[in-house]
Amino acid sequence: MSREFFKNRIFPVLFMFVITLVFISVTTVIYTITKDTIKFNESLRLRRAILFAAGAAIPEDQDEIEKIIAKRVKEVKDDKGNTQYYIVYKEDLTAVNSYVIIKKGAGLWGTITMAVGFDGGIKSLRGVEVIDQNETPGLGGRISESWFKEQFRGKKSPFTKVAEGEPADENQFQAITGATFSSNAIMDILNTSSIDIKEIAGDSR
Amino acid sequence: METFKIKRIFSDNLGRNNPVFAQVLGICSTLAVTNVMKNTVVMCVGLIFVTGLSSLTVSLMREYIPSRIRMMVETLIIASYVIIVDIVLKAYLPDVSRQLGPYVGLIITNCIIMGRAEAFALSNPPGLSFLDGVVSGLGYSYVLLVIAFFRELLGSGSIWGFRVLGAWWTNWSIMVMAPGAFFMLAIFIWIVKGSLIKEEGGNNK
Amino acid sequence: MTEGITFYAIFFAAIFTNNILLTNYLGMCSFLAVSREVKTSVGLGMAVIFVMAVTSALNWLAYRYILVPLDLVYLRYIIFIVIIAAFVQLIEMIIERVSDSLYASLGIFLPLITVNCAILGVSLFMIIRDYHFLSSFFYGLGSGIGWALAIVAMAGIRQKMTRSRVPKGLAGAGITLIIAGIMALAFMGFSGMIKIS
Repeated sequence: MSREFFKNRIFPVLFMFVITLVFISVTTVIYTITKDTIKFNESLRLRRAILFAAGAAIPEDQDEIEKIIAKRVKEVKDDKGNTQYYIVYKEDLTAVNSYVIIKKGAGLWGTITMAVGFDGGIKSLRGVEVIDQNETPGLGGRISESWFKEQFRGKKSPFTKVAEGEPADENQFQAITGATFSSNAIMDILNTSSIDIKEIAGDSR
Repeated sequence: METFKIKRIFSDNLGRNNPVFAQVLGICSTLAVTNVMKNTVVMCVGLIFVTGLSSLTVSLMREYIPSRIRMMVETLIIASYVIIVDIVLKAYLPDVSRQLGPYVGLIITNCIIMGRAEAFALSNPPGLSFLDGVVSGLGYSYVLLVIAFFRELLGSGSIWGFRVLGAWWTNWSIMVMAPGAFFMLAIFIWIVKGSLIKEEGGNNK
Repeated sequence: MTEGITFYAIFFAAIFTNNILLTNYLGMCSFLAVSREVKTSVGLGMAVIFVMAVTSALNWLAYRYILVPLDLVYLRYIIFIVIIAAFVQLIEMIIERVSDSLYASLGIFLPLITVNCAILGVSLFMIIRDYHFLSSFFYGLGSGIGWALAIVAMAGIRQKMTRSRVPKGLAGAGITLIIAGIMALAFMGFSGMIKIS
């Protein structure tokens, strides 16, 4: 009777417990091994995004990127220690090349995080980079494609959109066909970024 | 006996009993990323890895798993391998991982993996089970790759991200959106089933 | 945090514009297998609504208060699946004791649910999209209702279709997928209705 009870009730629970423990340990080991690589990837991605948005050349070599960041980029924090924006100086460090702000906005499927870079006079865009997004691959996901991102260089706020493939003037950008929502999200992010950066960086100039 | 079984594994999974068009199993998680071929390939590689190894593991433990909690143990095993795939993608292919988003996690609920574990691995030795898992993953992958090929070609005019159709081509946005996958898969099943029926009709006469 | 998204917008979006079955293909397996009759579809649909709503709330709590503080976010797949499986088991046991008629109508569908991708999908999506607690719950509820709506509608169509002549190669899965495609097209018509911003 008690043997039966053990076999039917206790053993399965014990078995499940042990198996769970084993598999959790295995995954934890793998996670710990790759943790630093993942962290490093993420910080590298942010650095590249800042340089891309500032319109600066991005070297292939990771150490070179570190050097440029250390030399030309200054992080500006508010009173509470949160990052507000980044100042990217010109190569000879004589003047400000770009103000880069990291901005989040609601996309169709989730948060879109972007690095938005403005020129030293905060008049036009130096460049934009999409850091994170969960839009539909092949549709809204195309906001990460380079033709989409490159078109923003030199554009001025307030931003409006035109259909894909149409000619755009200095305030306009080409939206993505079939991804109205994602395109609108980008438009909103850019417009709020331009208002915000004027407010927080405008007087520090 | 052994060679017969191996032959069966190939004919069952790649031929007319291919799980996708015989029972339409397991398309949930992967159909969503078939609008871009690159993502499909990564998803399929991940899936083959998980099916192969989880079949192997289930088979190794098949004599010890209490039948009451069989499904839970299988799910746990599958989930662990999926986590490994997820971590590895994050560490070494961060861009792809970002594109696939939550779909990698959904490999867990792919019915094919569970199905192979239940139907094959529980009653067969580890070597065969591993082979069966890998081959069934392959059988599944080629169907999805065909679908992805046509969806990307018709929907974006490109293959593997390179534009192959000229400017004269108007993208069928519907192919990239959800309904496109349903139609493509239905047409594919229609063609395969239709030709199988014809073959059988011919044999009967 | 996604600001400005209110939970009722998420609720309706989950039912109509972003239907988890028709736009994310989640839960296809049981959708294709069980959608032959309206009656069974209603039963499964009900079970899915219930389990989805509760597990999305449970998983949200587990994620926010256990996984994040302990830095175990990478284990979320295992934890979510275990919570879902345990919850389904628990409900099955309770229903079995409490009501025979309910067990007969809902109980048989519960084991099917653990392997329904849509349930896990909802939990994963709500994490990725940074939903708050209430939003997550309503997202789960809405997705469940949306899924149930789709399967019941499909079952209705398939029941009518038993009388029509379908090409042999298309019969079964093929035609069901085509109908699902047309349904997805129809649901896309809702997309202007709800703005999630």
